[in-house]
Amino acid sequence: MARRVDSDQTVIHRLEPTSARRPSRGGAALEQRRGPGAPRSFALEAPELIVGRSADASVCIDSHLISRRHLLLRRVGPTYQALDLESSNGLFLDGVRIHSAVLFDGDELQLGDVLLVFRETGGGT
Amino acid sequence: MSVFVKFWGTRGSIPTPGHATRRFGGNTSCVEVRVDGQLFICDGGTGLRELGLELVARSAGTPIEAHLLFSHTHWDHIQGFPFFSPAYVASTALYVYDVEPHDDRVHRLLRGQMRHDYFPVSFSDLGASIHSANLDGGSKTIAGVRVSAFEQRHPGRSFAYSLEREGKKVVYATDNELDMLVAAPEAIARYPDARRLCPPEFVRFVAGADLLIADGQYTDEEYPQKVGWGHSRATTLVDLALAAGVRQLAIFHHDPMHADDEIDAIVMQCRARADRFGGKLVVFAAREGMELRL
Repeated sequence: MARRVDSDQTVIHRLEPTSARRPSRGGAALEQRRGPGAPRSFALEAPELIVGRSADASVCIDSHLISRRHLLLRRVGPTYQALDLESSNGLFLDGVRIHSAVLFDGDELQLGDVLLVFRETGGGT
Repeated sequence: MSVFVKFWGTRGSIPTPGHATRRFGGNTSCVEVRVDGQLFICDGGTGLRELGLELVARSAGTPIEAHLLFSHTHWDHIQGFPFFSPAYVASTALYVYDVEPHDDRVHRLLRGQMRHDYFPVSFSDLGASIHSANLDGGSKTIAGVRVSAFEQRHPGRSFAYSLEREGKKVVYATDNELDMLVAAPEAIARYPDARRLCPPEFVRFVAGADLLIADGQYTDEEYPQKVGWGHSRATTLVDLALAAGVRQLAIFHHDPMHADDEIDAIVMQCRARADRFGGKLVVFAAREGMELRL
């Protein structure tokens, strides 16, 4: 499902968790290992996705330690780039606070009390 | 005030494309530092090509101005320049810095690598205004940013640079054989776990950096076979960073023989060393495409 939100017309694709920890299709996935709702997994297929506390976020996580719009995932070629949306508590990649980074299989993203692991699943998107 | 640092090339010596190096990257040295919109580029290795493409896209037609600081002019630090697309745009202004007044060695060597023997486009055919500039012998304020240079230990010499503004400090110190400058260097192999004493003048130069980007090409095991090659043990950087009160250490100039997993192992070793010495130091390996906001 896709819908438009915000004045900048960002297209937000709302994701529902897949039943398995590994998604069954798509080229990439996010595994939520810690934080409210964990463990669960999301297949990434849209070109841009928002992770945050907002109900409008593509990946909505109900934690007061993350911002309403905390993390943008943007497809770059076969993988995704993670971008901190000026969140209050920051975005950490493998323990380092980052503004942005290109993601690879196994990268761990920490947002407040939420731990996400990026997975390259090998399928085409 | 905003300071952004982005790694466009992190590899030492020669580009290393391929699956084994895809996470930390295969492009050679190039780091973008933006201080309140002022653009500084540390080294012009092959990573400079992609930075150039990004700058053109970001600028959306507005003139690009950049200050280029070269650690030295070995191939892996200049090879991206002929492919730096803003250099072909007439509205671009580039300032190429030497340290000493009246010295134009870096500018001259950038011109030289575009002779027809090496490259089909001449330097003189580049559309941009490319100025030779200098750091008044060691330190200069450029667009509100205090830029200072420090001569390092490397065959043919090299320079580290610090960029400071309003209490924020970034140090770029690659191609430096710090292990030849520590006290009693011959004792390190016998006592690898002992604290290494770095030169006090270099510790002062680095002191208080929010981010130190430094050459940590070798493991402790590799270094004895590489003495005199101009690069450091990664573990020695930890001792430097702790002595200088650095907040974050980015291990840089990755060895072309090191796959991603081997760089992970170096980081783990350095983190363990920092923990053992009780320092609050964030240690990581610079990776291509990673951007920090300080």
